[in-house]
Amino acid sequence: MYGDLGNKLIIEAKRTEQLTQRHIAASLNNEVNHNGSNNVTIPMYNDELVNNILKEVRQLKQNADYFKQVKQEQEEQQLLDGVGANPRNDKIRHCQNFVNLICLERNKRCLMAYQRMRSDMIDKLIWNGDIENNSSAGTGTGSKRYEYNELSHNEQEYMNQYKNLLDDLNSESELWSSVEIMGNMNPPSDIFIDIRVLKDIGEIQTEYGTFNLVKDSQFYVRQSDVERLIQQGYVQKI
Amino acid sequence: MYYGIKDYGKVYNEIVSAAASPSSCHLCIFVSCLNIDALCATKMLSILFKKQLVQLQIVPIFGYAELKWHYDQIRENSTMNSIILVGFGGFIDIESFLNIDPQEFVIEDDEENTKDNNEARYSRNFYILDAHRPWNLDNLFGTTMIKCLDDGSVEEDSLNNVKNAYQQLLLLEGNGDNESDLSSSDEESETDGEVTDDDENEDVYININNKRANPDGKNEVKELSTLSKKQRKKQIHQYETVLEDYYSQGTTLVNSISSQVYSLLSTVGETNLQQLWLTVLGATSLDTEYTAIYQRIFPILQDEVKRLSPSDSNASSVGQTSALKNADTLALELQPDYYLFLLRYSSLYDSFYYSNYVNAKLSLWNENGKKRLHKMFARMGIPLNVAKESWIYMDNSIKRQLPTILDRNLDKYGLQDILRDGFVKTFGYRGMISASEFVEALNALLEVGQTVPAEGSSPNNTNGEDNAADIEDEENTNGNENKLVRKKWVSNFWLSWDALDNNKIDILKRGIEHAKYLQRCIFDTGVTVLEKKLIKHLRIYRLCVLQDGPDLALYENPLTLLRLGNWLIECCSETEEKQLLPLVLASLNERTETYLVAGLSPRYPRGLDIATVKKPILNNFSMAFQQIAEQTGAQVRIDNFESSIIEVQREDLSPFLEKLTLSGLL
Repeated sequence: MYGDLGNKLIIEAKRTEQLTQRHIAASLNNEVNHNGSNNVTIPMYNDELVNNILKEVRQLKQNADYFKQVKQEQEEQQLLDGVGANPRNDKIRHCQNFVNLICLERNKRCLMAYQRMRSDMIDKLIWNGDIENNSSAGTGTGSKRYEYNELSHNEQEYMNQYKNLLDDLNSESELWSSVEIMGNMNPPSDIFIDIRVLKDIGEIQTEYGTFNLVKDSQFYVRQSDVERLIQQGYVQKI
Repeated sequence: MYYGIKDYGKVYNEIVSAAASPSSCHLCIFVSCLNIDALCATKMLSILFKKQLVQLQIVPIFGYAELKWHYDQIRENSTMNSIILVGFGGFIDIESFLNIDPQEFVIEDDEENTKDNNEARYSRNFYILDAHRPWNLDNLFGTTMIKCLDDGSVEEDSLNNVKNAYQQLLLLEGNGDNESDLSSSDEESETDGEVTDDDENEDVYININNKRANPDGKNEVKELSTLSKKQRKKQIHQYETVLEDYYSQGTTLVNSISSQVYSLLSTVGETNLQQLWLTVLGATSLDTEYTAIYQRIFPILQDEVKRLSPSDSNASSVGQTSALKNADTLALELQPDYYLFLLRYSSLYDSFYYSNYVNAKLSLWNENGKKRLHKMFARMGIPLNVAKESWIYMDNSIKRQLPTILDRNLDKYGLQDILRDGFVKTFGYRGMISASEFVEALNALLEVGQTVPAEGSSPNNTNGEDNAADIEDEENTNGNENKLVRKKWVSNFWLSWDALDNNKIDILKRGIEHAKYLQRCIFDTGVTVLEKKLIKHLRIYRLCVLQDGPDLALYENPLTLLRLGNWLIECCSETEEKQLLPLVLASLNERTETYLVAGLSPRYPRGLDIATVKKPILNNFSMAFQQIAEQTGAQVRIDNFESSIIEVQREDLSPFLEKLTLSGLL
C-alpha cells in the first residue's frame, strides 16, 4: 500500500533517535567518558528504502498526471458533447486525486523527517568535535574532506560545508576569536587526568613544556593539554 | 649515592619539589613490566604523587635494550628532572649504560645552597628502587646523580669493607692514570658482559664492572704518590679481589619493593588501606620464590592491617564482621588462608591437585601420588564428588570445619603448612579474594593478557588479534616479531594495572581463568618432563631442555618459564636425595630459533626453611651466564632485568651448557 515504505523509514529514524538518547544517558551515568565524546554513531544511510520511496513518488506522480489527463479529456468531451458534468463521476475523480496527493505529500514529509534527523546528528557530530575521530583519511592532508561511509554523497557535502562554515566562524569572526566555540560544554571535573598512549606520536608541545608520547606509556597530566589528543584518539583517558 | 629507609622522606620531598611547577611533566617512572612487585610499587607511587598533583609519565619496560631506547626518547627533554627506576637498575652502571655525563646536568650552586651542603646538585636525578642484590657499586658510591633507595642492606651488611675498597681503588687509579697505565689491562679482563642485541642491530654493553674515573680527593693523592709502584699494584689487586668477590657472590632479592615504598609512605604519613593492599600483593608475589622475604614482612603487614582496619568491629568476632558486609565494603582482613591453588575460585579437589606445594609433597604427577591424594580425602571424610564441586557451592558445613579437618589430618602427609594466616580482601558483594589468589591472577594477566591462546594454534595467533595484520607483513623478520611479542607483554602490564582498581573486578576474574589454564599447562608439561625423565643430572646442576610439546609457545614468556621452573624445582627439592642443586631450564622458541634459558637457584623444601636456613641461597647464574657467554663467544642476549634469564641461539646452546658444566662457577 502506498505510504508503507515511508512508515518504515520513520520507524527507523525513531529507533535511531531512541538509541542515541539511550547511549547518551548511559554514558552520562557511566561517568567514564562523560566529557562530550559520547560517540554519536550515525547509522548507514538507507539508500534502498529511500530509492524505493522515490520510485513510489514517481509512481504517484504518474498517477497524478494520469488523473489530470483523464480530467482534461473528460472536460474536452463534455465541451464537445455539451453535457454538464456528471457530479458523481466528478466526486470519484476528486477523491482519487486527493488520496493520491496526500500519499505524495506524506512520502515527502517522511523523507524530509528522515533527512532532518540525520542532519541534526551530523551537526551534533561536528559540534562535539568527533569528526576527526572517525574520519578515515583527511586529517593530516590539509584538504578538509571527511569521508564517512555511513553518509550519502549529499550528506557528506553538507557536512563538509557545515564544518567549513564553523571553522570560518571560529577563526575569522572577531567576535568569537577569544572564545572557543567548539569547546566542550561540560566543566571538567579534574584538572589532571590519567591518560594512556595508544599510538606513537612523538614529542608534542604544550603550553608550558613538551611531552614525549610513546606508545604504551601512561601519563598523569593536565586535561587541557591533552584534550585534543583524546578527541583525535591518540590517547585514551583512564 | 644511597639513602637508608629513614631518608626516604627526604627523597620524596626532593622529587616533589623538583616537580613542583604544575606546568609540565617532570617525573618519569620506568618500571620493569614482568614483575608484580614492581607493578604494585609503581601503582603506589603513582597514587602518592597524584595526591600531590605531580604530573608524571609511567613507562613499562621489558629489558635493557628498551630502557636505552626509552631513555633516548626523553634524553633531550630538559624538563624531565626526576627519573625513577622501579624493579631494576641496581645491577648496572646507569651512568655509563645510558651514556650520561653528569657534568651536563650540574646546576651551578647559588650561594645560599652552598652553605647547606657541598654536594653537587643536578637538574636530572635518577632514583633506583630495586631489591636485586648485589648493587652496582658505581651507583652506590661512585656518583651523586644516581640515588639508590636502599633498605638498609648497605649499612648493616659488611658492605663497608667493599665501600672502602671501592674508594681506595678510585684514588689509587686516579693517581695511577697520571703516571702509567699499569692497571688498564686488568680492567679489560674483568667481568665485562658483552651483549649483542639483535633487536636494534647495535651492541649494548651491560657493564657490570666498575668504571674508574672522577678521582675526588685531590689532597690525598699526594700522600699516596709516595707509595712505591709495586706496593700500589699489590693494593689495587687486593681491592679488586674484594670487589670481584662482592659482584660474584650471586644475585638475590632482599626485599619487596612495594614494602619499601610503604616505608616511604609511612614516613610521609600517607598510609591507607588501598596502599596497604598493594603492599600485601607485592610482598605476596615473592612468596613462591623468596619465601624468606615474605615471612619476614608478614608480621609487619599483619600489624598494619590491624592498625588501619576500621576499629568498630572490635566488639564482634571475626565471623560477625564478615556477616556485616555491605555493597561497598572494601575491607582487608586477616583470615586463615590455604596454601592451595585458587581455592575460592575452583574446587577443593582441583586446588589441591594443582597446588605446587601439595604436588611436590605428594608427588601427584604419578599414579601413586594421585591415590595418596584420594586416600587423604577419604581420611578427611570429604567425599570426592563433594570435593570436586565448585568451592562456592560446596557443602557449607564442610567449609566451616575445613580448618579443623585439615589441621587434624594433614600432619601425616607433611602438609601442615597449608593452613596459615593470609590477607583477604572483600569487594562488597562481588566476592572475596585472598592476596595469593590475586597474585596468581595478576601473574596470569601479565603472562597471557586478554585472551588465552587457543590450543594447537599457530604461534602467530598467540600474539593477539590486534597485531595479527602487522604480523603477517613482518613475519619474515624475527626481530620485529620479537618486538611485537614484547609490545604485547607491555600492554599486558596495563591490563594488570587496571585489574588493581577496585571496580575492575571483571578483568581480575579473567585473570583467574587464565591462571587456571596456565597452571594446567604447567602441570601437564611438568608431568611430561618428569615422566619422560627430561631432567638430566649434571655434576653441578640439573638441566631440562624443552624442545617440543603443545604448550611450547607459552614458555616464550619468561614469567611462564619461571612458573614451570618453580614447579619443577619444588618437586625436585622434595623428592630427591641430592636436594640443593640449581636448575637450568631452557625452552625453544621455534620462530626465532633461540632458547630462552633460565637459571633457578635451589630451594629448601617448604616447612624446613624457617627452622634450618641460616643464610639465603644466592642465584649464581647471572654471573656464570655472563662469563660463559664471553668465553664461548656464543650468540647470547642478556636483556632481561632478571639477569639469570638469557636468550641463546639454537646452535650455541650445547657448547654453552657444556662450558657451564665444566666451569665450576656455580
